[in-house]
Amino acid sequence: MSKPVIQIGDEIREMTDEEYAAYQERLANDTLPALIPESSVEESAPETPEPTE
Amino acid sequence: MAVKTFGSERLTSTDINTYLTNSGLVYVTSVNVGTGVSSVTVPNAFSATYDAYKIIWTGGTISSLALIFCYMGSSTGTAYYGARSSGNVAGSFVGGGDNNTAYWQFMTAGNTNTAFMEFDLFNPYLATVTSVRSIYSEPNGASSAYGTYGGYVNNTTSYTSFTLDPQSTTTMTGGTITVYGYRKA
Repeated sequence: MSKPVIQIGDEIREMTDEEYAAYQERLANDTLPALIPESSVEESAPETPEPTE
Repeated sequence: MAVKTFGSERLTSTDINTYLTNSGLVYVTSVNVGTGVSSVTVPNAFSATYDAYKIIWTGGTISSLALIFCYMGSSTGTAYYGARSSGNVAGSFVGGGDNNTAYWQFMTAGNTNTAFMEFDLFNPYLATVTSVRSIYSEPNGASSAYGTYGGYVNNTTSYTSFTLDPQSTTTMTGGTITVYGYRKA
């Protein structure tokens, strides 16, 4: 299983084992609740009604 | 150094280099953010040349709605303090604080469509407390919130870099992080 990648300057690389262990520990200890997404989709325009006889 | 009034039609290279290219806000360095990176460290950002810096990240996104954390150097630490003061689109106050945390947590947020950062750092290179002031932006539809964040890290470490690191497993993609120095006299 590949580890997450990090970027330092222009270098992008996979986390080392030590970095990944610290990353996992941080995730496990993170008690901050996630932001709750609200729907941001604009309502679609109403359909043009069919003409009636 | 006083601002110079030029009276001649000819500008010397010395005057141009001193007065015209060395403006109030001076480009220091920049990093183009890659794809799906868990964090981005900007090295060689701070030096004795400036005491205050403006950092801007624009043109990027993050992989999910999340806060974007920030810490000095390339690893998390301790003794980060700060407070967010923002209002949501319903007109209510939305707060949030960092009380002796491992990084600044409430500087700003982003989502899959938009993410940006604009913040100032004060004295990051000096062997004294580093302070931050940030624009808080949380693009979240009916729960959107906007405001400011202020904080500091309680140590006397001299830093040359900083790291942006979205909350949880969220990643960053694209855009450019640019560091500017506030020119001293």
